[in-house]
Amino acid sequence: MAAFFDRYFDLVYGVALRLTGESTAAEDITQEVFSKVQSSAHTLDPRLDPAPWLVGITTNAFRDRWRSVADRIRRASVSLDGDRALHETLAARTPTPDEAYATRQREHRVQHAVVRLPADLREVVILHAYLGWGHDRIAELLGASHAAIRKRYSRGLRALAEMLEDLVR
Amino acid sequence: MNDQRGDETRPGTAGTPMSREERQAEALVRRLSAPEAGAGFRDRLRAAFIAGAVTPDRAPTDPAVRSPGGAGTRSRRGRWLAVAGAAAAVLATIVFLRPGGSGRQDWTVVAVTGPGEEAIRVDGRPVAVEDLAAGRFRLRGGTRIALPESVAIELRWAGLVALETVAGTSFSLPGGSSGGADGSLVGRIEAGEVRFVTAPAFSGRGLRIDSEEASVEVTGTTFSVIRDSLGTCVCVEEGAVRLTARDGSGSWSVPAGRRRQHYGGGRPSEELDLRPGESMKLRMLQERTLPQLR
Repeated sequence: MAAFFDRYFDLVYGVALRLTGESTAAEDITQEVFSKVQSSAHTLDPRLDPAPWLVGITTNAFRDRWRSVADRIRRASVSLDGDRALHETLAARTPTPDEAYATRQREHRVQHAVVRLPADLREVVILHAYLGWGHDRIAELLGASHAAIRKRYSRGLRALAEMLEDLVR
Repeated sequence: MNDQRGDETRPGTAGTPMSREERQAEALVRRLSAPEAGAGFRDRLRAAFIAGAVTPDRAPTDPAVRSPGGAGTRSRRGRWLAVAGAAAAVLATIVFLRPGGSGRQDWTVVAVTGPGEEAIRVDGRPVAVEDLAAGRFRLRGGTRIALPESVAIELRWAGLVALETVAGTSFSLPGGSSGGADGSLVGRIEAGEVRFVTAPAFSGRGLRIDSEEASVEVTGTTFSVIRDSLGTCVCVEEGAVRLTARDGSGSWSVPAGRRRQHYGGGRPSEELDLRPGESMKLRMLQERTLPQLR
């Protein structure tokens, strides 16, 4: 159980944070995912990579939250949680505080723009551009056609490009 | 995980290439770093998972929020944390020693800036900006506040302390460590920046700030504490602050006009000039709030 947790915690938390934009929500989702893993552990096939299943649960948990009344009133918000997200990148190069500040500002803006995307576009953008999943795999996960996923991705990128106009020039 | 993006860089309908701007937007998302969860959360969840004691934590569907300190506001997360029982990793702790007011005194919201549609997390629950600004919630010491990226807040305590955050800061309000009976206050900062101005009547009183990497002690001053991906930075506009590494690697006095950046992971701490921009913000806070403090 410990090895499973250590191997997949970052994946689950990372996707949750990038989808929600705030650590509190990401922690809630991560906890929910591992609760489901705990209750379903006996059904896992050790020959299969559990990552797609975990990402699926994470995405579903995100969708549930998005639909909830509580989250609707705050869905436009993001937090500085991205600070922590920078840790690994920054630690690898030991940047100066000023460099870190500039990088942090850019990440904040990108994350802020991502969480302003409609949920259906956001999850495709995160799963494809951030997580590296192919459109076929995303289509299977989300129960949509390949063409629909590609369209959503395209729409998501266009919306991001508009929100981040000065960064994408 | 295998990166499967290589053959799908033209996401539109068949044959429609991405524009330069779309490619740039895609690159920006790709460059987003892998988030790092708080060590405390990770450790608690890991312990609970291994013990088979993780419970689902779903966001409340009722947005109504009672007093942060009142009964019934404890979230499922809180209950789970209690069950897990693991020692919390305190990212930063603010301790006011021997304040003039009672440690039980509430904090008063002076200003909340930001779009009205953005919600503030108070003890993990969403609270509308306008409700917080209207003083509809009792802000006791220990109340956890997580501000969205576009919202900043300014608070007062007992006419002795002014507190201002930058947008997006996550912190806990200083409050009594034992109900305030002993006069001390304890708070926390997880991420972001909090600026303080203490009143003349606060002079000589102890103020200690602990973070994951460092401990900061002051005696009435104007300063800020920043906690970001690099570690903890204390910026001193007036007075003096002592920063002590929590790993025991050293202790440094930080004079007015200077800042000390303390890094995590063993990177040596360093003292630098106070950034002009930060100095200006601290002076502005001081000039605005000091006349209102004792």
